[in-house]
Parts: sequence; structure tokens; C-alpha cells
Amino acid sequence: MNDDSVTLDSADAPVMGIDETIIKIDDLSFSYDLGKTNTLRNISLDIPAGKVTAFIGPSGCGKSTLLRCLNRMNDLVDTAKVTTGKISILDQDINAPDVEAIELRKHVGMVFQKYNPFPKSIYENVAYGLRVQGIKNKGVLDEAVEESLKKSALWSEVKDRLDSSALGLSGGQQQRLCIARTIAVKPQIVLMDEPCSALDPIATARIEELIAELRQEFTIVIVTHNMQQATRVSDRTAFFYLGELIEYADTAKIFGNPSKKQTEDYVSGRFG
Amino acid sequence: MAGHILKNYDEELEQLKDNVLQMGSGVMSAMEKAIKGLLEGDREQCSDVVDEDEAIDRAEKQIDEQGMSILMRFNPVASDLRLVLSSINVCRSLERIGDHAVNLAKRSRKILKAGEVPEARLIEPLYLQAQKIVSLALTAYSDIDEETAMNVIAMDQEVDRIHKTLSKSLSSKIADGGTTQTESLLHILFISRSLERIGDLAVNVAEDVVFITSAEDIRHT
Amino acid sequence: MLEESKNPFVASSNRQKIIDRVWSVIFAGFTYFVLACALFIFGKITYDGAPVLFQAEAPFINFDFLFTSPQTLVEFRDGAGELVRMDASDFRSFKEENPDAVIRDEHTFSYSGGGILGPLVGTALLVIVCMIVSLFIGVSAAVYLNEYAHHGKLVGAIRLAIMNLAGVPSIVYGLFGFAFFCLAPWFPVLTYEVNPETSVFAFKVPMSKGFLSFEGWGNSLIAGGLTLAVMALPVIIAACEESLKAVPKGFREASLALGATKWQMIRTAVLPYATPGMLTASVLGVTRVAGETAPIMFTAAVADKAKLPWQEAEGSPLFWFSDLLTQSVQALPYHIYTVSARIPDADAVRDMRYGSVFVFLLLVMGFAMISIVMRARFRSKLKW
Repeated sequence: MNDDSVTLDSADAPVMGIDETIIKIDDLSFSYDLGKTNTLRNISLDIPAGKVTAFIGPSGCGKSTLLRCLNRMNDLVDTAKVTTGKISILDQDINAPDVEAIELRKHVGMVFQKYNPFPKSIYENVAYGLRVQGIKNKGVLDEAVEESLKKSALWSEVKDRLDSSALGLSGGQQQRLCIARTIAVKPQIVLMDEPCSALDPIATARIEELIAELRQEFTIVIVTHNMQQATRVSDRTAFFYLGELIEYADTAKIFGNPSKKQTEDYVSGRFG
Repeated sequence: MAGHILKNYDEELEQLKDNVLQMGSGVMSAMEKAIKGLLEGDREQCSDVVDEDEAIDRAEKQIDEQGMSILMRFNPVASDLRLVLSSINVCRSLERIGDHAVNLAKRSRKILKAGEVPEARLIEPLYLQAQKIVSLALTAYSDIDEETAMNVIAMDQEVDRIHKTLSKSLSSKIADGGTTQTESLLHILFISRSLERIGDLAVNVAEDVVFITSAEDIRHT
Repeated sequence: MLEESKNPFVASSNRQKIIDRVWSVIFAGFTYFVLACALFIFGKITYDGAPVLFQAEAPFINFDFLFTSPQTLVEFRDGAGELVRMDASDFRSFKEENPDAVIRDEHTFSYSGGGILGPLVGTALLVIVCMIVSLFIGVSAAVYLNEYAHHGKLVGAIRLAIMNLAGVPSIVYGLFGFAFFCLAPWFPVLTYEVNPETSVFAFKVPMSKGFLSFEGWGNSLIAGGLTLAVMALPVIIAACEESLKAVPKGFREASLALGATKWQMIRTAVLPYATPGMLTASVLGVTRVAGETAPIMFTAAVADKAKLPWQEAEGSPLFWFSDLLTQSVQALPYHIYTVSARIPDADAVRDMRYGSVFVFLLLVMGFAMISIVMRARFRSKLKW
């Protein structure tokens, strides 16, 4: 990674000390059916800046739902509703009436489970976020595209074919392109929703390597079904079960010596 | 604790533990034969111990292999991971107890060859105490019981104490020079030292058990 | 168990085999029946219609049939007793040139002579108006329903209503169009002469000699086009929604997650990938309604029209355009209906009947083919 870019970016971002909380979730309950049943119940957790935090838990435990609360992607569901509590990002309640989800999403990027580049050129994919912000200057776009592709370890593979379709790339490359597209907008936080579940082990390893690189610049929250992956990439791990946060601690603790029996049962494969 | 979703995983872990315990009982019987041989004047028994050590070494290798295979196939975490790592450690300790037992046997043979020594009787209480804590350590491992393990650690002080007294009296006898059996006395002194080491190894086993239950490494503390 | 037979795969019972066979024959029979019907229709029309459009000598296509408008056909016997058929205009000049010619058994058949230029042009104009209007409304409605509307009872009801529209008989559309677009005075026209009987309100357009008059559109191209559009809408909305749904949800999510507004998302991450599908499906939908007679019977079509619509329209460009849209037109399906059902059956009208139907069939099949080819192209190009 190039040192200049690091200093340049950290200049725009608010200065964050080590272990400073960037996302504060306080007694959050969330419902997909206007409050009839709560998908998430009384979740409180503080996510530190500049670290990788993993959300684990069985399917339907609410980990993806919580992730989608963080950039208000759940707004897409008509009947979604935060029933109690609040989420603060950079000390701002993100569900406050004067918060525009679109602005929030520029600070909180997201990478999805199924890699989903647009059927456009590689260049246009990366430039997309900047274009919707109204940036038209070719020089600015060129620079941002190159920088983002370099940071996502894709530049050397695609620099000679920026104008060819993104769909011609391999699955792993497409997912890295999606990461490049996300970081091109320069978010402070990158949410990843099972980013490797559709990839083979080698492509997965590349993405994990990339996450290790990106953690120096972004706060990363990753939902994963692959517990080995959580142990490899994350600093902190939160275990969810049936919409509740069971345990949240350093990853080494969760996988080495969890305090709750439910956590132990889950991570060691004892869920019946 | 509920079983794993993978039945196979449970079976493998159980098997690993069984193998370690079996190795443990093999080691204990080796100790017993070596000392009984000495006390009963039966050189045959002592020779058996030397011959049977090979089986103990084989068991160690097998447990290592099995532990590695579990690590590879099931990626154990948390208490399972600690169980596998500790089992490998325990088997390492048992193997060394086995080596000490061979030592006991060889020295016993030499003592018996040189003729009757009344001081050999003095070994018995030390042996009984050492044997007791090895057995307790194995029970602690079998039941993954922290309390028993802590007892083992406490009881090791008694072994040390007996060993100290014994070695003092033997040393002074040798130093006095009033005996023709100096060599045998030296052998008995070494036997006492081996038994003391066996106690220490039992403590290691107990510490591994504590690591399984509490995830705390209490070695060297 | 199997003592005599060594082959374990021998059929266990003949009865099962026969039943199997019988059913397969029954199913195949019905399938081939459908095929036979289709073949008969196409075969008969081609057999009788192709000779009208094509000819043996160069240029092999009978352009007169395509490029002249229908007129009356005259049939008579000449002095030698030979049966002669000619168009009414030719017949007039023939009589002028040969005043002494013997003409016996003279019969006239309306609309059966000449070609089908007028109906072709009329149908084309109707389709264009219908296409523009239905695409615009259909795409908007589909985008609203699929992207914006909250999925509640109201949207469900709207969808149901749209579905139901597709089941309304075409004659009902015709009558609706007649009442809503032709008679009702709420639609204005630009005209030089206000119709005092139908106009409810009119005022002089500044800087011109004409008026803006609320007098209804009458029997007109625009009324017919709109009626067809209303009829095509259910199909087009459904097709457009289908195309929108086919755009992966991932595109929308990715776009929003990158900070796009809803409209930016629709414009850049949905419509570009749905447009080909919407277009091709809409072409198919419009092609289908273009063949309908009932909706245009009361709203736009006339059997006889001397000039083409743009030849008849007049005035300054704006007034000319208004006049063009409010012209009544000939239309191919209505022409076919006229020559087939409204004039007496005779050998003399056969050529016009089969020729028109044949050309019409080629036209519709051509459109369908184009849209299918287009769709296949786009599909192979846009894969995700």
C-alpha cells in the first residue's frame, strides 16, 4: 500500500484513537413487521474504530439484519421499524429525522453476499458511486478508480482492460471489484455481508488478505457463516442467537474460551 | 455438555481420551511392576517393564497422530481445542513417566543383582504417594475435574517432602561410609529422585486438566 | 424368482406398456391437431393470398397492390363475352377512350379494387400513436408499481384491476373509446372552424386564424390510437414489470449502498437493464392489439377515404398536426372486415380479401419476429 494515500485519506476522516467507538448500538430492537415481532431484541454493542468486527450466529439470528440497520438498508422494506433504542455512528443517531440515508451510506459502505457488479465496464463500476455524487471530472474519476483498484489488489489484474465488462471477471475478482467500488466513495465504515460465501477457497483467501489490508484504513464489520474466517480476519466477534446478542468479546476469547455456554456450543459445533 | 452435531467428532474426541487413559494405566502398571519387583525381589517383573516400554512409546505416537487428525478434520475451538492440545501434552508427560518407570526397573534389577538391601524398603511410602497422585491426575483428566487436579498439585508437596527426607538419610549413610552397599544405596537414591520427578509430571498432567476447564495456563506460576 | 428368464430387465407386464403407449398417442394426437389447424390457416391464406402480392415477372412483388388505395372494382362482359375486371378509375377512362365498347352485365364491388395503401398507412399511424402512448404510460406505471409503490392492499388492488383490464372484451374497449375519446368534449382540438354542435368551449388562439375548441376528437387517429393504447396497457404493464423484476435486486442494493438516490438508482441501475425487455415485450403487445378491429371500428376507422391522412390535413404546422391527429383513417383489420363481411360474396372480391389478409399476416408475423430476435439479442448481450 502506498503511504501517501493513507495520510491523505486519514486527513479527511475524523481522527480516531485506538479502540475509540465508531458505532454505538444502544438497546436496539428492530422489527420487520411494524413492531409485531422483534427480529432483533435489545442489542447493545460498541464497535471500535479501525478494527474488524465479526458477527456470527446461526441463520436467522439477526446478524445480517443488524448489519443492514447500520447503513439503513432496511429502509427498503416498507414494514421495517426500529422499535426501541438507537444506533449512533460518529456520535450521530442515524435514525434521527434529519439524517438522510443517502448521506449515511456515503460514510457506511456495503459489500454484499453475492458479488453484484453492474453489467458495465470495470471503470464505470468503480466510478459509479462518484458519478451519482455528481463528479464528472475525468481526472478525478481516473485517479479515484486507480486508487480504489490498487487498494483492492485488483489494479495489476485489470489495468489493461478497464473498459471491458466487469462480468468477464472471475467471481473473486468481481467481489474485489465490488469492494473497490465501495471504497471509491471513501466511507469510514465498510459493512460486509458474507462476502466470501459464493467464492472458492483461493478467492476467499484473497478477500481475507484484502480485509487485513483494508483494516488499516477502514472500520470493517463482517457477517460470516464461516467461523474459521471470523477467527482469521476479525479482532472482535459478536455472537447472536434468535435475535439477541449472546456474547461480544475479543475474537480470541470467543473462540478460545467463551463465557457463555451458548457461544461455546455454537462455535464448537454443538448446536442440535 | 450437549454432543456435537457431528457424531464422528464426539467419537474421535472420546477415543482420544480413552487412548490417553489407557496409556496412563499402562504407565502406572509399569511403575508398579518396577517397584514390586524391587520389594519382592522379582527381577522378571523388572525386565517386563523394560520390554513393555515400547508399547508406551507406540501409544504416544498414536495419540499424537490422532490429535493431529482431529485438528485437521474438525478444526476444534474453545474447550474442544483445549482438550486436544492438553491430551497431547498429557500423553507427553505420561511417556516421560514411562521412561522413569524404565529407570526404576533397571535400577531395581541392579540392586537385586547386588543382593538384599534393607534400605530398599524405605522407597515404599514414596512410591505409594507418587502412585497415588499419578492415579489422581489421571482421574482428574478422565473426569475433566478441576478440583481433583488442584488436589494433585497440593499433594505433590508430600512427595517432595518424603523424597527430601529419604535422600537426606541415604546421602548421610553413603557419606558415613559404614556400608558395603554404596552402589545399591546410590541406586535407591536415584529411584527416589525418579519418583519425585514422576510426581512433578503428575502435576503437569493436573495443570493440563486445569487448562481444559478454565482456559488458564497455570504452569510456572 | 426369475428362473426361466436370465434377463433382469425384461418388462414385467405388457399391459403397462400398452397403457403407456395409448396415452402418448392421445397426447401426441391433440398436439398435432393444433399444428394442423395452424398449418391449414397459414397454408390457405398463403395459397390464395400470395399470388396477389407476388407475381411471376420482375420485380416479383406486385407494388400496385401495396402502393394504391382501395377503390371500387367494376366487372363486366365485353363484346366477345369475355369477363373483364378493372378498377373504377380505369373503367371511366376506358369508357371515355372507347365510347362504342360493348359493356354487358356490369357489376360494381366497393373497396375491392386498387390496393391497400390507405389501410396500411392508417394502421401504421395507429400503431405509432398507440406505441408512443402505451409505452410512456406503461413504463411509468410499471416503474411506479415495481419500484416506488409500497406493497399494500391498494397496490394489490391496482394490480388486480390491471389484470382484469386484460380480460375485457375488445368491443367494450371500442365503445369506451368512442364515448371517452370521440364524443366527450373534454379533449381540445386546434381548428379553423369550430363545430358549433359539439364544441362546449372555444377561444381564438393568439397570433393565428384558428381556435382551440373543446369539442371532442370524433372519429380520429388519436382516438383510435389511444383506445388501442388503453387496450395494450395491461399487457405492456405486466411485461414491463416482468422486465423490471428480472433486474437483480443486487443492482438496486449496490446502487443505494453507494449513495444513489432512488431515482438515480432507477435511472442508472435498473432501467438500462430493463429497457430491452420492456421494448421487445411492448412491441409484441402492440402488435397484438394492432390486429384488433373492434376497438377502432367506432373510434378511428373508415372504410373509404380518398386521400392519405397527411394529404388531407392542412394549416400551419401546429394546426396541421392537430388536423392530422383528428383525421379518421383506414385501417387494415377494418378493411379486411369490410371486404369480407360487408360486401356481397363474389369471385371478384377474392383477390382483395386474401391479398389483404396475407399482407396483414406477414406484417404481424414480421413484427413478432423482430421483437423475438431483438429479445434474443439483448438477452445474450445482457447476462448477469
